[in-house]
Amino acid sequence: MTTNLTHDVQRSTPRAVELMSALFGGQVQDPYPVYAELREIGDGIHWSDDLQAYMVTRYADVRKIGSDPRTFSSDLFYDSAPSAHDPQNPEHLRFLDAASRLFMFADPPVHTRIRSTFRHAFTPQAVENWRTLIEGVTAELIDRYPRGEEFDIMPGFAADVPVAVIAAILGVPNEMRGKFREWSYAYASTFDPIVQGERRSQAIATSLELFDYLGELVAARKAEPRDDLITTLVQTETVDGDTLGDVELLAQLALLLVAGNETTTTLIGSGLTLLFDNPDVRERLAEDMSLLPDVLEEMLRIDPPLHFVLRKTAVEAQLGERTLPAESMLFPCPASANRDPRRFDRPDEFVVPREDNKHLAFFHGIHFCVGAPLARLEGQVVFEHILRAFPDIRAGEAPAVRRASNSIARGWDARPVVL
Amino acid sequence: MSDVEPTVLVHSDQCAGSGACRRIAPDLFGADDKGWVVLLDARPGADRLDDVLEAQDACPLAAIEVHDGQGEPIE
Repeated sequence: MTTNLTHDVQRSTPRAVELMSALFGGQVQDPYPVYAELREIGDGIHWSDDLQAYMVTRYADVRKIGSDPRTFSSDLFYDSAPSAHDPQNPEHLRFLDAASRLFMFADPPVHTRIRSTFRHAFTPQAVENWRTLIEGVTAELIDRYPRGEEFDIMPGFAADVPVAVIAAILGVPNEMRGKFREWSYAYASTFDPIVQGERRSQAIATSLELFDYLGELVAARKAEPRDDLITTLVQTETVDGDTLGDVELLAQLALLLVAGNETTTTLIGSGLTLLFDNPDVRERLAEDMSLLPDVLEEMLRIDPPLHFVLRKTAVEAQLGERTLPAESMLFPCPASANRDPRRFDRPDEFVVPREDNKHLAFFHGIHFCVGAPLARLEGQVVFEHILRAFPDIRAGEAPAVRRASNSIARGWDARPVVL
Repeated sequence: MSDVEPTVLVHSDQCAGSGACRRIAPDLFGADDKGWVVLLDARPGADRLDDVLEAQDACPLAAIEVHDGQGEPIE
C-alpha cells in the first residue's frame, strides 16, 4: 500500500480508530457489530492508518462508488498489495506482467474490452449448461462422508466443490484438482499484504506454475477448439473487434480461480450456519424448495464472502457531505452496506423472502461480479442437494469458528456438521 | 415529478444479461439474440417515469441512465 498521499487525511474519531484497529488487526471474529457502530459514527466514512484508506460503511455511499467508475477508479494495481515485488527478480516481473492485467484493476476502455468477452461465458443462460456438472461434483464430494458422524465441512467439501467445478469448466482432468487447489491458494496469498519476502517469492513461483498451465490450455484450445469456456473466450471478439491476447486471457482465467474458489467455499459455510440458526426458514424450505433463490439472496446479503473492495478517487469526489481529494484510497464495505438500516428493514434478521433485496454482495456497476450467475447456481445446487439428501443435517458439537485473520475475504476456520 | 418526461439511455456494452430491466418494463427494454439489453423506447412519456427509474435502480451493472428534459440525470 502506498503512503505517498499528497493531502492531509481527514482524521477519524478515537472510537472509530479503536474499532478499525481491532477489525484490521485480526482480533474480530464477528465484524457486524463493529460495522454497525462505525456506520453510525459521523458520516460513516473513516480514515484508517492501517489501511491508508477511507473505510466506507453506508449503503448509499458504497453503491454510489460502484455507479461512478470515472470518479472512483479501479486502476490501482500498483497501489495495492498484489503488486508488491522485487524489481531485480525476473520471476516477479514475469508474474506482474500477467497479474497487472486483471480487469478488476482496470477502468474503461481496457475494462470494457476484456469484460466484453468474459460476459458471454457467464450469462444466466450460459451457466445453466453447467448445472448437471455441478450436481455431479456436489453428489460425488458429499457422498465421501459418513452419516451420523461429526466432521468439519470446510476443508473437505466446501473447499473442494468450487475447485472441482472450475476445473471441470476449464476442461482440466480430475487428477489436476489437487494442483488447482494448491495453485489457487498460492495465487490468492499474493493478494495478502502480510505475505512478503521469501513467502511472497514462493507464492509467486507457484502462481507462475498456474499461469503457465493456463497458457498451455489456451494454446491447446486454439489448436483444437472444443465446446468449452476457454474456447469461447479464445474465439469471442471484444467490442474493439479483436480477440484477447494470450497473457491477457490467462490472467483473467487465473482470476476466475482466485475470485471464485474461496468466496464460494465461504458461502457454503455461512449458508449452512444461517440455516442451522434459522430453523423456521429451513422448515419452510423443506416444504417448498422454490424459496431457495430468495434464501440464497438473503444469505448473500446478511453474510457476504467478500467484505471490502478497493477504489481510488481519480478526481475530487463527493460522498454525502464529505469531499474527498483526488488520489484518496477507499475501502468500500459491501458487508456493512448490506446491513445499513437506512436501506434494509430489520437488517440483522434473516428475512425470507425479503422485498427489494438489492444487496451489494457482488458489488454494483461495471465491476459487478462477472461470475455471479455461476456463484448463484453453485449455491443453489449445493444447498438443494444437501437439504434433499440429508434433511436432518445439523450443526456439530464443536463450535463453528469464523476466521478473523483476513478482514477482507472473511471465511470459516471450522464449520462442524453431522449429516 | 409526474410531468417530467424521461429520456432513457442504455449502455449495452456493459450489459450482463441479468434481465432485471425486462422484468420491470418488458415493453421498454428488450434483448438481442445474445441476451444483451436493447432499448425499445427512449422517450416513453411522463407516466412511465417510475418504471424507468425502477429499472435503472434494479440494473446491477448500472447500465441504464435516465435524464430529464434538460439532460440532467434523475435518480
